[in-house]
Amino acid sequence: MRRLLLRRLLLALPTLLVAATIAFVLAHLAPGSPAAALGGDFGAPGLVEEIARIQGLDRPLAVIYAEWLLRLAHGDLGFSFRAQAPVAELIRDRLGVTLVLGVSAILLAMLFGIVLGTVSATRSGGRVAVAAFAVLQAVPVYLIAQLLVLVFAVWLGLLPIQGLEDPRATPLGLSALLAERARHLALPIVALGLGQLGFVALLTRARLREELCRLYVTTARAHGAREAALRFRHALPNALLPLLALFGSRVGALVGGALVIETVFALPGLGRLAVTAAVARDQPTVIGVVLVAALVIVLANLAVDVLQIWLDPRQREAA
Amino acid sequence: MFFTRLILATLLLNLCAPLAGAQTRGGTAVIAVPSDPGHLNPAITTSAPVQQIAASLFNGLVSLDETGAPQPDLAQSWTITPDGLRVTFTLVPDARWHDGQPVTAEDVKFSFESLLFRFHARTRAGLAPAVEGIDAPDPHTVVFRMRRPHAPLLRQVDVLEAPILPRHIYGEGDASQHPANLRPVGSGPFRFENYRKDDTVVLVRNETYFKPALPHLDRLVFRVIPDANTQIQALLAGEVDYVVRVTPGDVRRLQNRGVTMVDTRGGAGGSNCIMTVGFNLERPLFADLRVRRAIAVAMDRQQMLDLVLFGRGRVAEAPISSGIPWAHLPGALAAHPFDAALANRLLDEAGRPRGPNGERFSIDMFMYATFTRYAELMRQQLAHVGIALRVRFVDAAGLADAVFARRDFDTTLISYCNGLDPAIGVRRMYDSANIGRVPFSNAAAYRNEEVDRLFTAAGATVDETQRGEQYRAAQRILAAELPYWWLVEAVLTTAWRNNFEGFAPWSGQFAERAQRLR
Repeated sequence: MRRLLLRRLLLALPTLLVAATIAFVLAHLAPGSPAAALGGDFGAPGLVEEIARIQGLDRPLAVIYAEWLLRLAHGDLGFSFRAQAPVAELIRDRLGVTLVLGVSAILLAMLFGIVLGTVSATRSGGRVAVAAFAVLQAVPVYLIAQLLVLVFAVWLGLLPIQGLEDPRATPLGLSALLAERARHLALPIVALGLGQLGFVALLTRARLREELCRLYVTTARAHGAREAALRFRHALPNALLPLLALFGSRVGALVGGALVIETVFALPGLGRLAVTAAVARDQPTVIGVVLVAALVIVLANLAVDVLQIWLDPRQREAA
Repeated sequence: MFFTRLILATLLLNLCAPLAGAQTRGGTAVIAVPSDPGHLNPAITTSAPVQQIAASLFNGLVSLDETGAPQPDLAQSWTITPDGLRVTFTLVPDARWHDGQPVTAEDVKFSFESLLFRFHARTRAGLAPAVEGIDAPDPHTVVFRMRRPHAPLLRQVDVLEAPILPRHIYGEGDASQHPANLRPVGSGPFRFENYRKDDTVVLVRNETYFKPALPHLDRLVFRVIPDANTQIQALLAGEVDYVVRVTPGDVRRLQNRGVTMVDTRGGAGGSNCIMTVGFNLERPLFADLRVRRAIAVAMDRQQMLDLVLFGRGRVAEAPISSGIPWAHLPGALAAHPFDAALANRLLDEAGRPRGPNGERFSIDMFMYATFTRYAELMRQQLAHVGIALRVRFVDAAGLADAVFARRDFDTTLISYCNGLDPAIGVRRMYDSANIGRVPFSNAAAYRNEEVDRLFTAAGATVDETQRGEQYRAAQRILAAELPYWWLVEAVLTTAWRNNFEGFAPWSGQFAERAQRLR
């Protein structure tokens, strides 16, 4: 087990390097330069060239790449042209928001998705449920977000529309601050989680029904096992294993969804950082965010693999 | 009609102030801005997100009122010699930086020479070439020695065009990456408190502001809200108090909802903007005036005004905005009314007949994705005369690259902001010296010696009547040669909640006199 972990972690390094290099090349292939964005909305003779010279953007790409690689080897993600701050610091400041958003949304989707999927697998009204899950999964997260805002913030006035806290409020104590943050994050988390919830519920339902037709279930039923035990103790764990594997691959979709949610709810997260950086051709920041996203996806998949081995006695022994 | 509304809104604002009785102090205003500024140094960029926020931290030599006329700011008075070659500003005696140091003439000299003339695109292009040198004979006197008379000078030294920064802070080190860009020290009505990137910028009242009793507000919080719909919802719910820019489509949503809306012709980032189609004159197709004129008359600009701007603005009448009345030439474009039949005839004459599928030729048009509604209308209108329009959506960096650096495009749609003087934002579009590498300048690659001469002469003339004649002469040539096609003059609508008054959205220091009503 430990050897496997170590091997996977070592394999992750070249994966990340390739991801970062692709990001570097794409970021520099995009038309336009950070110098023009820094200059602003007007032009003046020689201005862009002067900014480029000051920022070291007039050097050959190979030199910039070599310097970037060298810095990366020292754990330095570089300096943002646009924000005039180290990229690592920019990412660190925003990672919290995006992680809370993403992890809460996953937990919400898993918890309610599995419960609803299991319930719907056994009830006769399954078709309606399937339709509802399919709609949840298909509707763009932007639309879900707008609808939630309309109902819970605008019509009912229960929750705030945007932001992390009320800028007019006087400084709060820790517990009050956490409560305030939770109030502000409730809608974004639900909006991001709902689409994933539809996906989890659909998959749980399909897998469970498939599992319930297996021979071992029939055997257990013949032995006189109760229906509830059959479902929850015997069939469900087997049904969930492949779901876990699939969920690892959904982390990417979640990262994309977080970008939209952060924009709609005006939250200072990684997705927003990536968008503003891309528009300003702020290459170091773009590459840094891609690198972090790649790291999250690699780690999530690794965690899923480990969890799977740990949960599945067959794989546990093989490892 | 449009003017009347603008003036009415302004009048109402002015009337409200005395009627409201005693002036109130205190309160926080939350301002919704669409983009994170990145940094807060307004002297090293013309980026609107930076200027929108940072202008409240600084002062110019003058401030500009709603008519564009200069009023005292850091300079309490100024004199210009009859030959226009020496302009002397007298600074207010008691202005101080937020750290307590006095504001001196050396700071002014430093700001222009080391920052504005190098990094502020409009000031570098529009003012620097006219200035021979800046002297600071005593701490409260600044003298601009001019190479030639420069009429627009006083409109180019407000807080948006030329913010004054403290030399003792920004004088050391690389200005473009200075630590103070993130912790600015200014002289303006508000002091910097903190900046959380992509989230909020908090400014607090400058207790020692040199203008007595100002500002009224205690705090100014800028909230970065990228989604326009979220901004409107937050305004209606009272989460924010002020929205910098309301789209024409949202104006109706805000009517009778406890919100004040004011149309202006500008603010941070530019004023008197005209949506303009630029023809790449280096392409043989557009070297033919008949083709350019055909495209111009094939466009129903009234429809654009009605359907895209919901009537808020006006169809462009001339190459120079009607917001600069002394230079504007009313009716300059009257010879090119919307006429699809004429367009078809011109294209036939130009030897561009319709093919078997009814299409004559196809052209591309580079623009921002926010102009998509213009694109849809133009695609339909041009299809009627057999021209297929392929729209290319790009962002600012992509536009600068394709149109100005590589010049690989047929046509482009750009909102050209004229500014308060044609020397600031108009000349750059036609100046043959700007062809090529200067972004957001002469997209068409237009070259006409007489037009170059007229713009140069008008910039160096002091008498406004005489300048107006020169600009009108240039517009007559432009209207005949059509290097561009001027579509509509857009207005900028700003909205704030009715429990505030006194905002000045046409000015950089829009909140200097704002107050919260009890």
